[in-house]
Amino acid sequence: MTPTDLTSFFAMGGYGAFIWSAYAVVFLIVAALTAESLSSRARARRLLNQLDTEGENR
Amino acid sequence: MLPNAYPARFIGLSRTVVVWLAILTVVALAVALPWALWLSPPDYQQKDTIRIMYVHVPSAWIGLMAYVLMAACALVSLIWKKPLADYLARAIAPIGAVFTLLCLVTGSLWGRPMWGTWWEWDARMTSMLVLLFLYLGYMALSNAFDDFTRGTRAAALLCVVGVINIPVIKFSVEWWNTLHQTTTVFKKQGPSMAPEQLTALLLMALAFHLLFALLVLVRTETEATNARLRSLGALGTD
Amino acid sequence: MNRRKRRLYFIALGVITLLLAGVLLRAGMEGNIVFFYSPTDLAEKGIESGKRFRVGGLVEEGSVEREGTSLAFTITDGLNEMRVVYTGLVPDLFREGQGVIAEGRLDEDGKVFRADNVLARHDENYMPPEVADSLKETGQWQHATPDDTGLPKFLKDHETPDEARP
Repeated sequence: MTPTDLTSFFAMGGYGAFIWSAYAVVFLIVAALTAESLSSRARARRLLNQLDTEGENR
Repeated sequence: MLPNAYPARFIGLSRTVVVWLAILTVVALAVALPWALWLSPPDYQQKDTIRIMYVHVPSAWIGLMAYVLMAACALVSLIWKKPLADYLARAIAPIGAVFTLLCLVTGSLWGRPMWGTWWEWDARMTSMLVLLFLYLGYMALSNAFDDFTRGTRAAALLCVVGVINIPVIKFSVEWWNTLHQTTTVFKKQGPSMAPEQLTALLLMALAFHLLFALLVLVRTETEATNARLRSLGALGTD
Repeated sequence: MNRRKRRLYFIALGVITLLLAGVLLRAGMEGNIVFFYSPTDLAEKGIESGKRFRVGGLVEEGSVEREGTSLAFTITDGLNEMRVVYTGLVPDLFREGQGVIAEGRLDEDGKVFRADNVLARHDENYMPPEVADSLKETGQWQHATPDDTGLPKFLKDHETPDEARP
């Protein structure tokens, strides 16, 4: 790919701002949702493990 | 708490499936993105803005499909009182809301350059906004009560009633004059789109569906675990 | 959970559902569900002058006249038409033969529609430019006429009745 190819790829025929913002919004929001889903699952697992260990020690 | 309240077998299986779904999602995205952004041709009228469709339409499909799935789970929960159905419905709601929101935002970013407006109150857009509010209403209602089961049941009722909105969204462009065009893919005569463009759309849709399934499984485990924690007295009251 | 509380929740739920239905009904009655009228709708119904509404159809081929940022064009649904005048920017998709929706009011004499907003409308067909060009070259291009299938609903609704055909 030559630099001009790249420039025209990012320009998207003049609609680059709209197209790239659409993809960026999708990526950011989906990434945030995935991160939140994984971190809250990890937190729930940790709490349950703690309780289970406490229960065994009792 | 019912003895089968923690669906241990389902969770055990879903942990394995999630790993595979993660791999498949990454592979599907790696194939779909070059198609969506580069390999597929622009449209003769809408030029490169057609590429917004490859994220807009899959988001809309997920938003609709997730609601139907959530309503089915809500119905099962209301009739048979299966805890797993509650967990699934509660897990789906925020995911459906996010994809519905993405559909609205990307639609706006497409509407501005092509139609000349960010937003209009036409039947398709208004009914899609109602869908977002139904998701938000479900989430608010299901967490509004100290009593987990009560909240989930009340929200399930709202969810089932809200199903009426789904055919309204689907057929709004056929029933009324709208700014939004009519359906392209699910037509009697077949999709009215070039094969390369349809490939890009379907690949992106595949990636979105895989990601959706992954997120649902992850969040269902969280819901089930939290319910168990509540029953052990570690999280609020039950 | 006592009975009084439960009843309260169900009342709240009922109110939410009713509100939702009410909003939709109100939107329908105010004509928001009908986003725009076709020239034939207008010819059949008649409109109060001074009332704000939207008119939609196709931009008639050869009807666009430009003067600076002002333009005039004719919206047709194949059966009836409406002349529109407008000053301002039009969307990129605005062109002859394309779907269009104009928002504004009728002139005092009821002949000309003064638009203050023009939206472009497109159909549900997508294809690469080369395919469109070759269809046009080989004469297989389907021009947007009300008799075509696969056209937007607003055109199909006003298909020429058989008895009206010559």
